[in-house]
Amino acid sequence: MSLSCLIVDDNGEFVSSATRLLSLQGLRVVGQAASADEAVRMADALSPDVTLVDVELGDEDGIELARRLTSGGSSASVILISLRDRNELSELMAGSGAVGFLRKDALNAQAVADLTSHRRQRNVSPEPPFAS
Amino acid sequence: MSAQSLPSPADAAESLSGLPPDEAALQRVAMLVAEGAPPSTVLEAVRATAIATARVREESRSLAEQHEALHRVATLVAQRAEPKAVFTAVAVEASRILGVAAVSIISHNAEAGTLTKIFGTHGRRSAVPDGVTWPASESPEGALVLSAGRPVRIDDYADMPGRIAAIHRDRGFGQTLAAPIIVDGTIWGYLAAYGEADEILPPEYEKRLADFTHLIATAISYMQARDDLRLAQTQDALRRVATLVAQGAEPKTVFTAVAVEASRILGVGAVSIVSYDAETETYTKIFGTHGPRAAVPDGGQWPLADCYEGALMLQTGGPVRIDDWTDIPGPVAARHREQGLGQTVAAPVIVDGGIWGHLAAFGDGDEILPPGCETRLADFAFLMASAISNAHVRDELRGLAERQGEALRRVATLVAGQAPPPVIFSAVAGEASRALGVPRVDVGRCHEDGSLTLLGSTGGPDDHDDHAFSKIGQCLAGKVMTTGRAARIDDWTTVSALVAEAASDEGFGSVVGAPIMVEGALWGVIVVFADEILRDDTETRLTDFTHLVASSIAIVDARNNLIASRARIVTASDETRRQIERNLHDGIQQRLVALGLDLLAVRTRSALPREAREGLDGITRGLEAVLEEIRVFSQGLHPALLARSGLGPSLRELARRSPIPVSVTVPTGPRFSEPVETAVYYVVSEALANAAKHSRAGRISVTVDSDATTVCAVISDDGVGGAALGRSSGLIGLVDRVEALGGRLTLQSPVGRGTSISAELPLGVQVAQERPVL
Repeated sequence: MSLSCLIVDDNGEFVSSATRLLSLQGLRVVGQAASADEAVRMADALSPDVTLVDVELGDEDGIELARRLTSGGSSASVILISLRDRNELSELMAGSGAVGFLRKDALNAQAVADLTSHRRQRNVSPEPPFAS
Repeated sequence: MSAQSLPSPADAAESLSGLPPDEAALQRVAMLVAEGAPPSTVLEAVRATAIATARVREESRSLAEQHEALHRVATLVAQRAEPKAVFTAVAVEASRILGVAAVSIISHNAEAGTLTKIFGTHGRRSAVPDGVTWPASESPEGALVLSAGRPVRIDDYADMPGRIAAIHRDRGFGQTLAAPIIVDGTIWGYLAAYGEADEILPPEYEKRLADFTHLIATAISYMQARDDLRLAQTQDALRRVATLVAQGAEPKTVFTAVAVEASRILGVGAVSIVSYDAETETYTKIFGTHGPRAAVPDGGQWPLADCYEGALMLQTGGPVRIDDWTDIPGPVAARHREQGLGQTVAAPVIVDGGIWGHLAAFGDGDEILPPGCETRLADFAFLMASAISNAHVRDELRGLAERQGEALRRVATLVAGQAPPPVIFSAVAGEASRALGVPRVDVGRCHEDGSLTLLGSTGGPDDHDDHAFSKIGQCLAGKVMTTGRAARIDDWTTVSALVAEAASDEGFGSVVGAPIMVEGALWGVIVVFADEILRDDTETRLTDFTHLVASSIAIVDARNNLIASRARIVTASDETRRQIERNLHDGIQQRLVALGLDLLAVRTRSALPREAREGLDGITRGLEAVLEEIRVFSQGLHPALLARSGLGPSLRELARRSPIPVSVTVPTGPRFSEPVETAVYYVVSEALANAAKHSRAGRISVTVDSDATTVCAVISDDGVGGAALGRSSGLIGLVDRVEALGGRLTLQSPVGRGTSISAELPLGVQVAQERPVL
């Protein structure tokens, strides 16, 4: 059974491109959310294996959302995504409860699956952009 | 005309499963084989697969073609082509790649409910010429696409009402497609493709047209970013002029800088600086960049009646705009017409509450000056006014110094050295008491409610109780405040018994007070106390000292205004950079990443011919390079995460990026104001960059420390030293930024003993504050 995935991002263009790509690469994108509240509701309803959360979610804080999604003994995996470099965000992301970080242009199903399966391993080596 | 739409099995599969046609077809073949279907059925399915695969190849080829088109358009944008050229290029590329009869780009004004034709490739078959505006309801495809918000198709115009539909029928156009151009979430306009009469446009054309609208939206975002950059350049120019003013440059130098910077930034035909003499109602041209097109030579004069923009500003007191000179009487307007000068914007230069003159920008011919011109000119005019009033004060001080010599020079030195006001006023009192040979002099501030505050006295800044005037002083100051003129008491029978008693208690035989006038209003008084009757010329001799106080106030005031103004400019420029960073991040960067993922999806889903794959690889690499460029550019623009994460994490992030090891110490207390944090961030960022380039240091330490009033950032390294503020423009920019906030940047860099850069910034800079109360 392939991994189920929820994408939380306020940029529609990115969400549709990411959904298309991840679906083609074998993930099941079960939901898309554009705000923190919507994300929490959908995560509750759909229990995805992994939730991709944009660090800058419009005026909302994606890192705070990651904390909400992973608190209270939830088994959900959260991967933070951003256009920015990991090192720009490392201090902000510390203690977010996320299992990892992916730069948006390095997004692909294999990287998502690797991070999700090594839940306790916080850092992965950076992926090359648009890796096939 | 390109291929008609392909047979339907793949289409049906696509619409049912959402999978791309080739995979759907392959799955069908696999299923048919597994189910043991008859060979003819399998063969039919294989044929469909071959068609579908051919179609994917065709798609990827046209995708590559479209990306080349995007590249060509992006190049145009990057070369700062005018919007018109960019739109033309997009329309021409679209009509070429789609092979349709005509393509047009239409913009939409939601407020007015109108459409404007930006460009069309129709040539002589066009229904409306380029640039024409008409009601949105009159355009069949326009009304449709605006309400649908997605691509629409009109099969023919046969039954369509309205003028434009009739023209389309007339000119032999058939099917029409229109796709909305969406910029920042709103419909900016639409792109329309017109087929020949009876021609059927393939079904995938809606989608392909939509791809071009993304391209136009990207170009528009790029052009908006370019406008933003122009604003940032204005702010840099203002900052350069403000620095000149702060350094006390002569007005002439400032004027030249203003004219040159303003004409460059506004991109207008000419800028002129004009002074006005209210008494004779005459204008004098100080300086202009018109060259031979000038209506009046530099130094030339003309009357109020012939200066249309000047007369307007005398009425309004603010910036004005003149659309054209056609109906304006007088020889100057005639000369402007002759020289082809068009729209004109002017802003008054206001010195000491009156109009000193103005700054005017003249556009060429039909050129339309952008809406922000008035504000930008007004900012330049404000800086000119500061330079002029500084120079006035300096001249006055020079005159005073010639008369009063050493005494005044000492006070002037205090003022120039930015001594606090109580010290300056006590020094004035001390000098006056010495010059006039009297035991006591008080300097007081008059308030609107008639009360008085003692600002300085002969005994020094602390020689008075709770800033209160003596009874005699108050009585006299009351007289000065009522009459606005100097006053004296030496006949104690004319005052109340209470005052007379106080005078005899304090042993004063004579008291003289003189008004301190600032900008034409009573600001305060100087009161002189003596044991004997004061000489008759005491009032006159006091004038120099009241002027001295007034000058000191003007200087301190001007300095505070300038600090506030520079701080405002820095804040505005930071805000612009923040906005540009935000727009890049939310717009182009997201769009390019999405495009990259789309390309990856194309490669993932289909076996592409070798040349198509190589083409896509090339585009992917180009995309990565562009993204990386934008990422680096953005990082330099604005510390996007500073506001959110605070100074500590942001400085540590800078430290991590430094090739030389850096230790960072930042207090964990409350946050500083945003301008202060931003300044500290830039100082540290620039200092680290400078150290990496020149210092050859083994380690660097960054320490931020603060008390109640000041924050201090020190960046020291153990490198080779020998750095100078003049050598690197980066460090000079920092001086500018720190001084703009009323702070100070110092550099110590003895050769061989490391470099230490220290920035001290006051915590209390009120950016909006114009007039600090003394």
